[in-house]
Amino acid sequence: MYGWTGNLLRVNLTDRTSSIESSEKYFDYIGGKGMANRIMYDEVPAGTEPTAPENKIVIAVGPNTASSAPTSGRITLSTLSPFTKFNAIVDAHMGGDTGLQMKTAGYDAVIIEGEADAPVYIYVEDDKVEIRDASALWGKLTGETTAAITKETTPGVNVVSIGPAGENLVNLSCVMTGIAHCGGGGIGKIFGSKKLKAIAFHGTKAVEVADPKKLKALNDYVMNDLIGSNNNHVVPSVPQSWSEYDAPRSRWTGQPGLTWGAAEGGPIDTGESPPGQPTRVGFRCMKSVFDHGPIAEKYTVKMTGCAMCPIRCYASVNIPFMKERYGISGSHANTCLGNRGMANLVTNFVDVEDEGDGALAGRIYGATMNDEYGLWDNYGEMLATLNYFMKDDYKLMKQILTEEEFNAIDWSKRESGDLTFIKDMIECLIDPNHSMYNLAQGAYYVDEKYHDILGDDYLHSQALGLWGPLGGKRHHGNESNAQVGLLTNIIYNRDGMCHTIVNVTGSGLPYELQKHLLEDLFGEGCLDRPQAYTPMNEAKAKFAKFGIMRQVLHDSMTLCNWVWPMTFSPRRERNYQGDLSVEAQYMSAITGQDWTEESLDFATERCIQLHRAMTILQAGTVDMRKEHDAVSEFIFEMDPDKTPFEEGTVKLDREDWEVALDMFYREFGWDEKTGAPTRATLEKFGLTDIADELAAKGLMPA
Amino acid sequence: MTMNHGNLPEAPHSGELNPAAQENSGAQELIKLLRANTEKSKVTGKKELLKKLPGSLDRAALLDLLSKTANKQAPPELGDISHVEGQKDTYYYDQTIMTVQYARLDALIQDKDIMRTVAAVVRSDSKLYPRVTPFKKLTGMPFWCTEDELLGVAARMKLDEAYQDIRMISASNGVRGFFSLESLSETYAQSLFEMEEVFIPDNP
Repeated sequence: MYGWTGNLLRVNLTDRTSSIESSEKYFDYIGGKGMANRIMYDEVPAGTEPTAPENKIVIAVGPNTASSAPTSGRITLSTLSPFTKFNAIVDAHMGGDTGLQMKTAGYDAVIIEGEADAPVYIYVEDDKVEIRDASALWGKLTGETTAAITKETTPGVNVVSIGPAGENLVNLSCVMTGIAHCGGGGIGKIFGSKKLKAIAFHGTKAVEVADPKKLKALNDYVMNDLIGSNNNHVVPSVPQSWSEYDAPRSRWTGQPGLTWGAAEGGPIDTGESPPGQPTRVGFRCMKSVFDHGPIAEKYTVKMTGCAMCPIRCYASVNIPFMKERYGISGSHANTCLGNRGMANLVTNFVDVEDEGDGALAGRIYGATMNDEYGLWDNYGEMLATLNYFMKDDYKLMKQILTEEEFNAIDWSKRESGDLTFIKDMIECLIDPNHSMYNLAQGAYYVDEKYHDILGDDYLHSQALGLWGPLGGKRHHGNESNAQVGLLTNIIYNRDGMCHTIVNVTGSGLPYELQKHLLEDLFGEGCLDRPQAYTPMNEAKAKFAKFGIMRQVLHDSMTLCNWVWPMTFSPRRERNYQGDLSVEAQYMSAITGQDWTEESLDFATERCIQLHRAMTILQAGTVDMRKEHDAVSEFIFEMDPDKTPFEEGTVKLDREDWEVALDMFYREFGWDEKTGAPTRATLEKFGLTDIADELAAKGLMPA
Repeated sequence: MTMNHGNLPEAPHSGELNPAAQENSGAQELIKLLRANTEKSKVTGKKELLKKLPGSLDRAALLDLLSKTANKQAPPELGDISHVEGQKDTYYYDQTIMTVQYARLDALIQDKDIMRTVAAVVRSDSKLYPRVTPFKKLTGMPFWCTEDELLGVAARMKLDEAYQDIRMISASNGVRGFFSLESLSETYAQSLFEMEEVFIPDNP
């Protein structure tokens, strides 16, 4: 067998047993997300509560994982969402080394079921599976836990751990691995509900691929001709001699004179890394400076990232004064919003050695605290919620906290720039006995708890920035090609995390060139000028579908959707045209099966139809259009001085949005009235059993 | 597809191989110098070459070689050499290493006319991408202007008829940038800049 290992590991925490089964019946779902979702459908009945022992955690990788394909280090953890409306299926996508270690231990998926009667951790070393006592680890931070399990097991082990937030059943809690990488979606709470402190993998087996020569050739092709930087930005952030274009917001930030300033042995210049120099790809993304600003250069040790990823989007920094000043290590690695952490809870920063280093220290402190406590920010929603409750001189905070609780917090630290205020707040947020705990349950539940004082404003506010009242944060929504970006958000039961569209609009290439390349794929009118959008059309619906399709494909096979697909190329010799057939070529080379773009699209769409049907079953309503896909009011009310379709806004038009839904539903073969898959659509993808269940429960569109 | 690169000054460039050309050491010495400079992301001005003649070349031989690069009669070694016309000089570079777009930028920088440089970059960014040009682009590689210089440019542009299309704006976080009214309206530029400088950094 090539690509897949053929093995599912089942671990039952209730009776502390494990077994190995064949994974072959799930190959139609590719792997990763698709496989994990189907297992969840097969084994977790609709209506199950997220924290019930009957809920499961499915950790899955795909055929590409650990194959050597660039960016193939990601992993999916599926479960029932604890933090969004309906508690429907949700996936956490995590980087690091977990996928590599789990796959080389011999597993396509691990199913964790039941509930332990005391804290445990699971240790998997190839065929050896042990459920070990974790009583001594309960209460420990994620870093301490990782260190302790590594010491107890074997060097090189990969530890996936929850912190006190997960133990205390905070909805917005995560798992952490490698100290830096987070799996969100509230998965930490599900670990905690099962008294599962951690799972650790150590694999020593090979991943067999069908055609190693073809795989090597594909890797060379991608590395030389297709890959850019993080988010597949294909032009550098500053003019460089080899490049025709530049874009200040590009994540291709490496440049002559910009160094990893705190590198071992002295500063390392990131230099120019033009296409065709694969060994220099890792210097393209100088993420520390991109995320934190120029002050971060002198503290940058290196760029790091996930197993098998050449992009290195994680900024590893070391700030020596953190230890003495704030009592924590100044060594930290993270990326994107994770690098913000909870820093903006503090309204002023105090510089220490250089101008701007106070804000940098705040970010590192906030991110470190979140990671250590295993708290997940829901793409910034938790911070937005806290600031919402603290505005107007703490008006709402005073209403929800007891007087004793309010007075026990030293609020003056916030304005004085004392970073320990962040820790103070986190310790309240994860304390089930503190009223602030309610603010870490996700916006949907915050609104449910406090709707009497919040009214309708909070959940639909621009300050909160949800894509919809379901509770998922807008994550590359209407700011990314208007209707197209927002359509990619509504599929999920959390923030969208779909990067296919924003990778295109943020590529750095000029608009007319992007448009030319995309219209060949999706038709005229698929891409609007930035902040100057036009009414919905069929080409946009196809582009939006493509966005979702590739994301689900990447999460299933697995490749990183923060880099893929290769829609564009950095090579001017190719006129910047990427190659969208590469994923199918990888699947063929790795599995030995004959995959085409069309057959892979079909398998991918099966996964999406499954996900939609599972959401309907868990929601208990067929009316997805009204109950699930409804978007926040601010989407239609932002920029009050502008009207929809006017240059300079992405404020959507209500009627046009309904047209967008119609067209999007048609692309997927869904009933236009409800947005639910028809029987014909489900049967087309071999999901007859699910159609039968939907019909039996009255959840099939008329 | 051929892109219109905004308002960066267009210049002819050559570089096609001339198989009839003869090898000569002077050409080799010239190309060695031009390539070395190109690798350092620099175009080389004719005036600079004449001031310090490369290797064994005399003034007449150098001018002869440079003229051949312009009329496509260059010896094979010079086949990769192209040039752009600046306001104050002609600038040469190896087109296998450097794009003509970058060569035009560096020619502007070498001409040392900051107003013209800023205007060319801003007009190009506004028309081509379209986007506002943040100060940080102009304070970084390869321009290395200071913030004070840019504020001075903005003040002087207000008084110069040639730059009445250039406007300076600020995002809500105080970040400054320039745009050209030839391609962007003020309100459109403001929204583009706010998205780039405030929304996207907060929602990475």
